[in-house]
Amino acid sequence: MADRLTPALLALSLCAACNLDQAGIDPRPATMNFPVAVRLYQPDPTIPASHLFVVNSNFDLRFNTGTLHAIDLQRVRDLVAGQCGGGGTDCMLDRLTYVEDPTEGAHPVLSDEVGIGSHASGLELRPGDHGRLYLPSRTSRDLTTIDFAPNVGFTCEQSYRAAVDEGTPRWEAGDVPRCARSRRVTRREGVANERGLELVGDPVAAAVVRSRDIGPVDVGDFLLVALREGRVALFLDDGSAAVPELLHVAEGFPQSLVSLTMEPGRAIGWLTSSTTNELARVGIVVDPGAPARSFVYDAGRLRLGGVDDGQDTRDMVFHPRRSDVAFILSRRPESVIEVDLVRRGLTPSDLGLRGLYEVGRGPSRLATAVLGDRTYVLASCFDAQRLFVFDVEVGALVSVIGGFSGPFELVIDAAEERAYLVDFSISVVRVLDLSPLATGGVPTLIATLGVPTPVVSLTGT
Amino acid sequence: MKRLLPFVASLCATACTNTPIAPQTSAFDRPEDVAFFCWNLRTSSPTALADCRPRTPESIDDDRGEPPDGYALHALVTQTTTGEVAAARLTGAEGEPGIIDTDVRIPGFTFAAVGEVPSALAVSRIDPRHVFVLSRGSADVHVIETARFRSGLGAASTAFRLPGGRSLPSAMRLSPDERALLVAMFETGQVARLPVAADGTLGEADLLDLDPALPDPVDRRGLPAVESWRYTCQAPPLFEPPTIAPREPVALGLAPAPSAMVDDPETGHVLVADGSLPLVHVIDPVTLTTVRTINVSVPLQALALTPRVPATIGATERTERYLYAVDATDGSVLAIEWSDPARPDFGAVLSVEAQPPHDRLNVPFPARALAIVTPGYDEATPTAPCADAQNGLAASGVNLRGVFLAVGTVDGRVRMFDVFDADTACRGFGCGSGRDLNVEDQLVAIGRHRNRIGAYVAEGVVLEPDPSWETDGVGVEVVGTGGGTNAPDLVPALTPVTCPASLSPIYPLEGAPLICAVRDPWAAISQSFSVRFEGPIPFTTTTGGNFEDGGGVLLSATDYCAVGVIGGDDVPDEGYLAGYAGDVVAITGDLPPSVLRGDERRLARCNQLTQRTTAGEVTPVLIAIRSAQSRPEDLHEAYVGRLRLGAVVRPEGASLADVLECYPELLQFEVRTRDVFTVSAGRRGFQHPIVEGADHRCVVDPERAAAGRRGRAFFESVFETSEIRFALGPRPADISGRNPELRMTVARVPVGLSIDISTIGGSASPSLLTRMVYNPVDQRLYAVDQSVQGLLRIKLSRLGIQQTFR
Repeated sequence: MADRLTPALLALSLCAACNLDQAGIDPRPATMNFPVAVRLYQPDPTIPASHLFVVNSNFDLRFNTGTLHAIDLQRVRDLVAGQCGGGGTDCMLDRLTYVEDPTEGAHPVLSDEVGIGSHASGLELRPGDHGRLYLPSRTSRDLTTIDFAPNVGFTCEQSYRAAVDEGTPRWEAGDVPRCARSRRVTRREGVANERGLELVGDPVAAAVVRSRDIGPVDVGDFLLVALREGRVALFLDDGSAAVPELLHVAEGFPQSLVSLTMEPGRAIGWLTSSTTNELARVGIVVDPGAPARSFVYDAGRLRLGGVDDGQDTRDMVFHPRRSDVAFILSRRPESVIEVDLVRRGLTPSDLGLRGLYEVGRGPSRLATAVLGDRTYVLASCFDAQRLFVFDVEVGALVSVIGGFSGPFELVIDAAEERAYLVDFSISVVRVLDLSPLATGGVPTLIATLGVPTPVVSLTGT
Repeated sequence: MKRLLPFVASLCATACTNTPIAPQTSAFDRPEDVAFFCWNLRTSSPTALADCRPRTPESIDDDRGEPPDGYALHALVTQTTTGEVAAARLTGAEGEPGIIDTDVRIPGFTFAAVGEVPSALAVSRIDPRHVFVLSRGSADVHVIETARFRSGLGAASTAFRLPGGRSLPSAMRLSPDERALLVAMFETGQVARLPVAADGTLGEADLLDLDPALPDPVDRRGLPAVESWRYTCQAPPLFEPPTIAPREPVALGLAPAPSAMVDDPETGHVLVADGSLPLVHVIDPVTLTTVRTINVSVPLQALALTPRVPATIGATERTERYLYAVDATDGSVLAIEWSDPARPDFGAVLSVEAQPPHDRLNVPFPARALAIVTPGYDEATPTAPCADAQNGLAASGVNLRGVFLAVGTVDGRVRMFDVFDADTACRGFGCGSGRDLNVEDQLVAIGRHRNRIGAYVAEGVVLEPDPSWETDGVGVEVVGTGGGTNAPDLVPALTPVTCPASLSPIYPLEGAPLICAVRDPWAAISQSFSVRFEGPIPFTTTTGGNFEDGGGVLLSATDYCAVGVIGGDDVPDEGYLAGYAGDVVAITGDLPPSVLRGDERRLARCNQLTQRTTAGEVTPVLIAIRSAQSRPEDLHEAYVGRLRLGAVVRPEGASLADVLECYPELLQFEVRTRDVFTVSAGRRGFQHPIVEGADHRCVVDPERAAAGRRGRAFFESVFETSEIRFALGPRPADISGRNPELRMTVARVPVGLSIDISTIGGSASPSLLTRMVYNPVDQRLYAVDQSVQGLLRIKLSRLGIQQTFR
């Protein structure tokens, strides 16, 4: 009897797993789930940002989509000032809801929200008006394009997956509207077909640059997308369509690409890789007569020579006030490396080294800001669970901020002297006050957005 | 179920037998500074550091650095990430040395909590009852009772805030009389003195504003030449560093910014490095006044002062002192004369190297730390005989006895430089007077401020393998000692040359020299030279070229003047490159997809133009360059270089219009020399005399050409740079269309003595050296690696890492 029953039970359990109509779990509105990228909506950098965009990657695939949040920062400021005494302590804004939600005790800071698919790997904004967002997505292996306006919210032809009764407030919909498929891919027109282009690979980073900043003509914005396997794709968004057009794909860059940073004022993007001590560079050539025929090329590699051993770099930022200096975040050794872009090192292929500044374990992302008359570089260290702050003029570490679980990407609002840091491991965004740096003090944690959600094991422990 | 059970059981067995690998944890978290104290084990109290001095070892093998019985040497190490100070016991029986848990009641290692980013330590050598910890981030000094580190019940600290708001203190020392703490305040340009009471409390700070006035730097030109301290045996001609003018002073700011301090034990003064102005401030810590300021031309970030050493190899009196410093602008190391303020050269930055930069030590990478080490240097008898030789062993480069400079660089190495080697008499098989000389110790060169050569050197610098031509896949032709090869139609011969004073015959070593190079063991560089007929100019290869102006112009992101390109219209009328036809553009990329998939007739014409094979290989189209420009005003700032093109050189009869038809968009090209040889060195690259001249055109700078910056070699002409000299014979009959390449590799260059702190016990991990401190009591050098290794205890009597603490 037991011999006949066991196969039957096995078959039954297997059959249950084969139900292909499972839609998965819809994300609860206003829920952060493994945030991975943040950007400020700040068309005028001299004025404090009005919104914060947060990309939730849905890393654990707990839900059937990742989400993009627009957080109303003025409401955050009001809550911090009102409920939490103005920033003296960590203000827990854990009951996030939409700005029009009257629920008692909630924190209505969420201006808008859309579903974007899982495993988005970054976020870039259109230069200037910040009115368009580009998200490289590992799920669609393409770019997702979303428009934004403060009084309108996100526009991506979004709709709910299942029908929602008319009049249902969105905080009661039980789901989030998702961007249309048409917004999750880019265009293939004549040039891409002629060149036989295929977007093959894992998008890991993107960069946007205005055409008038890198060429003699103003034809829109060029986008570069780095693919992990050592490729870089070029897109053009001339504003004529809802999504950019693929123009060219260049190969031959190092494997395991991690980040892509445009050199200010130049048509050169710098690429970091986790498997080599070379920094690759990709150049954009603008065809002024036929912009769609523009292309990208390998602009050569420069080595982190003289460092022990520089074989894993994770991020790069350029000095905000000097065109000849940049900072590279290295994991071997774990440090911020200040490089000279003009002077070469031991050989003509080596970058000139200006300094090395130690950071903690697992350095992940860099940000730089001018606060007052000082220039700072901030490095998030995921495994050390800390943020390291360097004063560039002094050339030294001035502060180490702890209290995080998995610090990752961050953005700095210099106008308000605040930093917004993704705490990936517990799915929140931290708000830090950087103003104490001006008087030799330590930056303080003034608010946390989202419900701290530690990673749990399958057994629930 | 029964059939499944064994399967499941085997899975479990596999899982259960896997031994979990315990991760190797480190107690330290970004250590930065280290200080020492001695512990009396009988009284359980700190005692004078001198009490931990080991007895004089009978041999190098006997040198273990162990204090006398009843005492244990300890170290204190700041932890910048956590804001703590850790203690470690350095000596004792097996199992005793290690990190100390300051509070055993708390799981894991617990250290003493101090301020934000603790960056400096100070402990009295005489009365070490208190530890002073400077925290850069919180700008305060914490005082801890030393004994609390070993109590196991925690070590509380008392904080004393430094004056001012944001001072960013950069360094701290106890004054020579140990009655006050001196703190360098980087941001305010001051030195603070805080009196230390007997109970360890700190008094109100007195402040000294550092003087921003810049005296003139000391110029040694015109002063009598000084014989340098040097010992050699069978060495090739060595080049004297030329006496040069002091550098034009450079400042990184407008006000002083003290970055480092060091004691002067002779005078009781404190030397303060300025990280903003090019000054060394000498201050009197008792009166808190500035004694003098010395202009060294660059801001500094570290200092190390030597004891007195003899001036020359035969001298016995100790008359000379040197101050070494790290240049804050580029991390290079300079040596400053610091013997006697009454001497006219006091404070002069010395010329120490034969190759430029002459006024910098030969340190290949930026320095992060300096230390003067004096193992076995009995100042009363500085010329004591060799220690190792007394034991029947040969003296060698790894046995350090005397005064040496240790330089920690960003690549994780500690490099040693000679200041005074007490064992020179025993070195050199053909020269030394000691017993048991090593037969391998043939060539010896030991010189003040020069890299210490650690290994025995049996033979000098040579070319290895013999110079040879590679001939486009036809074969390899070795250059014979007469200069010829077996392929005289394909490659030119080398003709005999006369070697100038700065170079020595290197090939052949006997007979008429064909090639001269640097054989000075301190100046030579291991590298390969490439001499390629019509070879590409380095860093001109790009896939980002686009024709403009109907094909007459090429734009790209390449800075053509910086990389050394010159057009035929811009060569000089006389001098170097007079008569040169100018460089050429070589289109090396395949035809673009729009042509390959387009009109068949056009494709046929383009295949003919490029001689394209079915495999897609092309013969590069060559186009003459009339002129090259960098950053002309009318060029969009996104581009950098512009080439104005002339006629198509190859294929014959083709026009620019033909080329444009076949390359309407994508263009991969490089710049090559024309009918001459492109010469480049592995280390220094393509040395050229091209500069950006009027109208941003790339032109020849005669001064650079005269200084030996020449990248193009001609037939029947001598080619010379500061590193190599040779002469090519007449043009071979069959060289056109080929690109033969002569390769010459300078080898067997003695390697400077160094330790790689990242490689310990056979495993390697990236290191980040941050501080080095010499402990004269146990005569060990202590290096702090922030990345992995933690605190390293380095033995100097036979250089090696003795222990690590992490």
